Amino acid sequence: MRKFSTSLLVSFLAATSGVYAQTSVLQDKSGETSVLVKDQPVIINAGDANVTVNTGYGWARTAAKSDKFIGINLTVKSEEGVAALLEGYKFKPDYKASIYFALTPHDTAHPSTTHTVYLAPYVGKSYFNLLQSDTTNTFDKRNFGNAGVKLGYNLLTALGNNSIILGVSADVGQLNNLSALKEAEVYQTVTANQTTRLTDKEIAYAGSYTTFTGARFNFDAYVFPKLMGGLIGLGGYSRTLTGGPAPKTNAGLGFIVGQKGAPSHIAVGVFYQFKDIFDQTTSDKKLLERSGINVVAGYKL
Amino acid sequence: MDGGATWENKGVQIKIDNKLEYFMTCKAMSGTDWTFTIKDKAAKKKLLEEDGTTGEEIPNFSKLEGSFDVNPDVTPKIDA
Repeated sequence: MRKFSTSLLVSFLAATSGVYAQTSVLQDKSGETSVLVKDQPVIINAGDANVTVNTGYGWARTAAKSDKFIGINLTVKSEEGVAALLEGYKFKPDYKASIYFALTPHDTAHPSTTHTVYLAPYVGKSYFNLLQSDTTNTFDKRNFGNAGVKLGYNLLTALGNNSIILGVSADVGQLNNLSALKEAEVYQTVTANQTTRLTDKEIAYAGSYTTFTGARFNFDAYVFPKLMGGLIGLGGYSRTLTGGPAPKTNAGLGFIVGQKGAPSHIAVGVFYQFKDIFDQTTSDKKLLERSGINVVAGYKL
Repeated sequence: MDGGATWENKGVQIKIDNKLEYFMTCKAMSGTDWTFTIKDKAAKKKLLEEDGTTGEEIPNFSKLEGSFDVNPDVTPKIDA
């Protein structure tokens, strides 16, 4: 038998930073995030009594200087909770669909650090009721279609022995001011035998509705202390909206819990969110009165 | 690997008369479990299997290197 070289060097580079995919549990009440976590296809956001389900998928191709990813994401939700999603002919969920392209350059000089940049064009549509300004308590059924593109950057690095995730993103597209309007519950009334029943509850938004081209800027920062086993992350986020009649910045603080053996698979996140922290919309409520808790859960199939 | 990613170098056939050296690096958030395997598909046996967790020495990182003797009469394939 012919003899070949007596030794072989097997080089294996696995650049699975765990910080790329279309979405992540690190999201606010409206589902916005700048940090993308890989392989977490189902996420449930309980914010504001709504339920959001995200599915995402990505794959990698090895390359000499970088890993490249492409994936899709579909988010569906209902303004009236998950029950309305499944209510026969009323099945008409809001949705947002996007495709994303991500790039992770190999950085062998800094073994603790992984950079990821991504670009994600999206389209979406939402359905809602708009309460008429007269005194009839009737509403119009409206819908809003939009499109935009998000550009983001994620960084996985270390401070001492602790892992750190940072994310920033900018998103430009068509937006509306629905989140700034007041929600009202509208019922049909049936009176019989001196008893009035309220039926067919629906949510309608009250106020001056408008659409506009705006930009959103997201920032996320989390540290995973080694003292806590690296499975629990502490941190928060800010979400800034510019443009339109009510520009504002929301912020949240909280903690997240990852899975043992795969800490980037966040199982649950609990956040305390403050709405309009700079009071740009001159609300008559104090900051603490504009705050609320949110729970997000992720599941890996 | 993180998320169960498997990196496979398909169709690689190497004839070795005594020694195989290997070197593996893995970048993933500290606490991520990984498994590194070198198989001999022809003989249907594992030549090497090592487990580890990133962040044990360097945050968000693992490195594995070493060597082992192989049977000179076997033509191993690398599957890692």
